[in-house]
Amino acid sequence: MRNRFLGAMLLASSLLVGTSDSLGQAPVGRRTTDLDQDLFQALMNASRFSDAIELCQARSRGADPRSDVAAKWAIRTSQALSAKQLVNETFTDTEIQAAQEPVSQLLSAYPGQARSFFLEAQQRRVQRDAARHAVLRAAVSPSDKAQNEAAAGRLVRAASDMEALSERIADERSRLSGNRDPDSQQQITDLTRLEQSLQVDLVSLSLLQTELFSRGSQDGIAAAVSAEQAAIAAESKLPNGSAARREIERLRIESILRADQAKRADAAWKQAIDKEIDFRSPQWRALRIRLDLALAKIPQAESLLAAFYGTTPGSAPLSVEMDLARLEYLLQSTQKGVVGPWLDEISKRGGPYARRRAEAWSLQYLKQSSFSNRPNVDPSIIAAQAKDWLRRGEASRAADLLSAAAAAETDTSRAISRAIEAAAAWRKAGSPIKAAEVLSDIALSKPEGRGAAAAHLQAIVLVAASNDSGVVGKVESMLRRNLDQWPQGKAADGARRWLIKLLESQSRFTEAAVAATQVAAADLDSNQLSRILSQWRSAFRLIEPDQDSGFNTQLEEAFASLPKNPAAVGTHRLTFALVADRSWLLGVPSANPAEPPWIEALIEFRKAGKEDQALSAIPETERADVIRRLMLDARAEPSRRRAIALLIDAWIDSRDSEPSPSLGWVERLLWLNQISEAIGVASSLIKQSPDSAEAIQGVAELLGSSRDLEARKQAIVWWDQLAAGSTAGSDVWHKAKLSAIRLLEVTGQNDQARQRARYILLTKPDLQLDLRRRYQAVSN
Amino acid sequence: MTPMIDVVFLLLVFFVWTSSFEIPEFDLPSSIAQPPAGGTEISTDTPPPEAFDEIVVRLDRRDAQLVIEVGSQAFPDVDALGTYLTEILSLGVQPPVIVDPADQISMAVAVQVYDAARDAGADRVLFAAEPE
Repeated sequence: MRNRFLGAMLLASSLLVGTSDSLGQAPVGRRTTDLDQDLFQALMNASRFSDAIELCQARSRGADPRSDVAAKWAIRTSQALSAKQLVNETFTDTEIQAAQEPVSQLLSAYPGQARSFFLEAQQRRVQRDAARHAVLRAAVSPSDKAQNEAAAGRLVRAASDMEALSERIADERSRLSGNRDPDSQQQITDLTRLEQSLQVDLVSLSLLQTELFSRGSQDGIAAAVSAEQAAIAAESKLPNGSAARREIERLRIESILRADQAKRADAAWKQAIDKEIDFRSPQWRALRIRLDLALAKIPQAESLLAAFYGTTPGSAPLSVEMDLARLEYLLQSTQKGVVGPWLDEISKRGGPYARRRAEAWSLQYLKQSSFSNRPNVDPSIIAAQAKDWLRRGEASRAADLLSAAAAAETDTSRAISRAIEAAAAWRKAGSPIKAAEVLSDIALSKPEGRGAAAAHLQAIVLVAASNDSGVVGKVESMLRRNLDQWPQGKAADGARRWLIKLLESQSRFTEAAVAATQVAAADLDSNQLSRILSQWRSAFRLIEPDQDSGFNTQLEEAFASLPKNPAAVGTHRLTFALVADRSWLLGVPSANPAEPPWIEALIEFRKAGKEDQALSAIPETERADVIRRLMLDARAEPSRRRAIALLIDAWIDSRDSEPSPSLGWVERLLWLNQISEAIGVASSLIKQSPDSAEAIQGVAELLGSSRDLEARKQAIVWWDQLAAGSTAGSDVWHKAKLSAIRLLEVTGQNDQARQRARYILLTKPDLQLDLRRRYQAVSN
Repeated sequence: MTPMIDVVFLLLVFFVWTSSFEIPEFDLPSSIAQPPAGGTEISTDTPPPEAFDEIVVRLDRRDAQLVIEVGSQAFPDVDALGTYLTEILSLGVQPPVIVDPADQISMAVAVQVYDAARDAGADRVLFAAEPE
C-alpha cells in the first residue's frame, strides 16, 4: 500500500514539473492499466532515471527471484540504467556490464528463470543502446576514425548477439509447439512477441549503420540498401498486421529514403497506407514529413508540422522523431535564426540524447551544404554549439563542429576565425595535426579572408612541431604553397625566412637564395635587398658554382622576376659582379648614377679585362668574395690568369700585414711563373696547416698542374710524402701513388713510373679492378 | 818526469775505458723497425719519403703450421717467399723488408726468413719491434 502511494506521488510530481503538457493526451497521465508501468515510463520520458531506478528497486524488493515480477523489475532497472548511460559522455564495456547487471545477476543466480529469454533480450538491448551511443558519437565527430571503428564494431557485435538470441528463441518456440498445455501456449505467445521485437531491433541496428556515413555518400547508400534488405528479410518472418511488421515497414521506407530514393520511398509509403497502417502516429508522421521534404513538397510538410505543433511547438506532444523532422524542415527553410532555438527546445523536450541526435543531423546537413548555395544554414549556430561542448570539456566534438562551421561559413574572414577556434579546440583535444589540417584547408579555400596567410603559417608551425616522418618535406611544400598564395605581407616575410633556413639546413644554398629573391614589389625594401645579396653571396661561398651548372641559370631567373626599381637594379648588378660567371655578366642592367664606381669597374674588368683605378677602391669587406670570383674566372680562362694574379697580389701587397700562406697565393705565384716562390709558400703552408695531409694534397695538385719541371718534381715529392703518411691501400694512398706515377710519366721518367706501378701490382695483389687497370696501364 | 808519467797514465786509462773490444755484427745487424703511424698528420721535417713501401713479412704459427704472410698473400714455405721477394727486387728496387715474427716463432725460423730475404737480394732486412 505504501509503495502504491509512493508511486502515485512520484507520478503526480513528474506531472507537476512540466511534463504534463507532453502527457496531455490522457488527462491524468495514464496510458495503460498498469500504474507502475505508466509511472516508470513517465519518469523515463522526463529523463528522471535515478527516480526510475529507485522505483524499480522499491518494487522488486521482496519479490521471489524466480517470479515474473522480479524479472520485470530487473529488466526495467536495466532499461533505466541503460537510458541513463545513453545520455552520458561514455558507454564503455564496463558501463555496459553495469547496465546489464540487474538482469545478469538474476540469470546467473537462477539459470532456470522462467523469463530467461526476456532477461537475455534486455542484455542485448543494453548492447544496442551502447551501439547507438557509439554511432552518435561517431556521427558528431566524423573525423575521429577510432570512434568510427569502435561504433562499427559495437554495431556488428550487438547485431550478431541479437541474431543468435533470436535464433535460440525460435528453437525454443518450435520445441514448445509440441505441447498443448495452456502454459506452453502462453509461453509460445510471449516468445513470439519477444522474437518479433528482436527483429525490429535488428533492422533498426542495420539502419543505424547508415548514420556512420555522410548522407548521400556511396557508403551511406550501400548501408541503407543493406538495411532495406534486412527489413525485407525480417518482414517475411512476421505475420501481417502485427505491430512489429508495421514498425519494420516503417524502417524499410526510412532505409529507402536514406538510400536517396525518395520517389521509391513515397511509393512504399503509399503501399503501407493501403495496408491501413496508422500513419497518425508521430513516427509515421515524421517519416511523411521527411518524405515530403525530400520530394520538395514543402507546403505538405508544413501543414503536417502545423497540425502536430500548432502555434507553440514547445508544448506539442513529445516525439523525438517529430522534433527531428521539424529540425530538418527548419534546416531547409529560408528563415534565419530558427535552428538554434529549436535545437535548444529539442534538448529541453527530449533530453541530452535527443539533443545529440539533433546535433548530428545538423552537422551532417551542414557538411552536405557547405559548398552549395544554402545561405539559410547559419554556421554560427553550430559554432555556438561547439563552444558549448568546449565548455563541457568535449574538445574533440567541439573541434569537429567548429571545423564544419568554418567550412560552411560564407564570410571568408569569419571562416578564418572559426578555423582558428577549431584549431585551438583540436590542440586542446590533443590532435595538432588535425588543427593544422583545418587551418590549412580553410585558409587555402578562403585565401582572401583576413588573416588567412597567418592561419596557414600557423598550420605549418603545428605540422613542424609534430614528430611525423617526412615532416621537413611537408613543411617545405606548405611554405612554398603559402608564398605562392600570399606572396606579400608580414606572413610572407616570415614564411620566406623560414623556408630559407629550412633549405640552408639541408645545404640547399642556391634554392635558399632563390627563395630570398622571390619578393613581391610592395615588400621590396632595403632589408629585403640586403638579404637577397647576402643569400647569394653565402650560396656562392658555400657551393662550388663552377661545378653547379644550375647556379647561374637560377641566379638569372631569380633576378629576372625581381621588380625593376633602382635599388633592386643596384643589388642585381652587385650580386652578378660578385657571384655570376663571366658569360652571365652580359645581361646585367646598366649602372645607376648613384652606384659606387668600383662595381662598374669590376664588371668591366671581368667582362673585358679593362683595368680601372676604381678597382683599388673595392671595400675590404667585399674583397674576399671578389678574389674568389676572380680566381674562378682565371681558372676558367688561362689567358687572364696573369692579369688577375697581378691585380689580386697588388691588393694583398697594399695591406699592412704580412699575407698568410694560402693555396690561392701558391696558385697565383704559379700563374706568374714564380716557381721557387710558389714552392716556398707551399712549404710554409704545409708547415702551418693543422691538417698537413690536406695541405700537402692541395699544393701537390697545384704544383702538379703546373707545366714547370721543378714544380712537377716537387709535386712528386709531396705526393710521396702524402702516401708515406697515409694508410697503405687507402683512397688517399692510391691517389698519391697514381698522381706521382702520372707526374713521373709527364716528366719523362717512364721507367720509374713503370717500376712503381709494377711494384704496387706485385705487393697489392688484391686491388680493385679499376685501380688494377690504372696501374697496369702504366706498367705495360 | 813524474807529471808526464801521470798524464800518460791518465790518457792510457781514458783510452782503455772508451775503447770497444766487441767485434761489430755484420751478418745479422740488429736493426729494428717501428710500425708507421698511418695517420693524416705528416711530419714535414722527415727526410724524403720512400717511394716504395716496406715489405712486412708476418710469421705466425696456426695449428702447429708455420704461416708466412706478406699483406694479404700467404706463402706455403720460406722458399716460396724467397721467390716472391726475388721477383719484387728484380724490378730494381730496394724496399726495406721487415720480418715480424709472432711470439711462438722460434729464432731459427726468423733467421731462416731473414736469410731468404737476404738471398733474394734485399739490402735492408729489419726485425719488427713493438712500439714503446
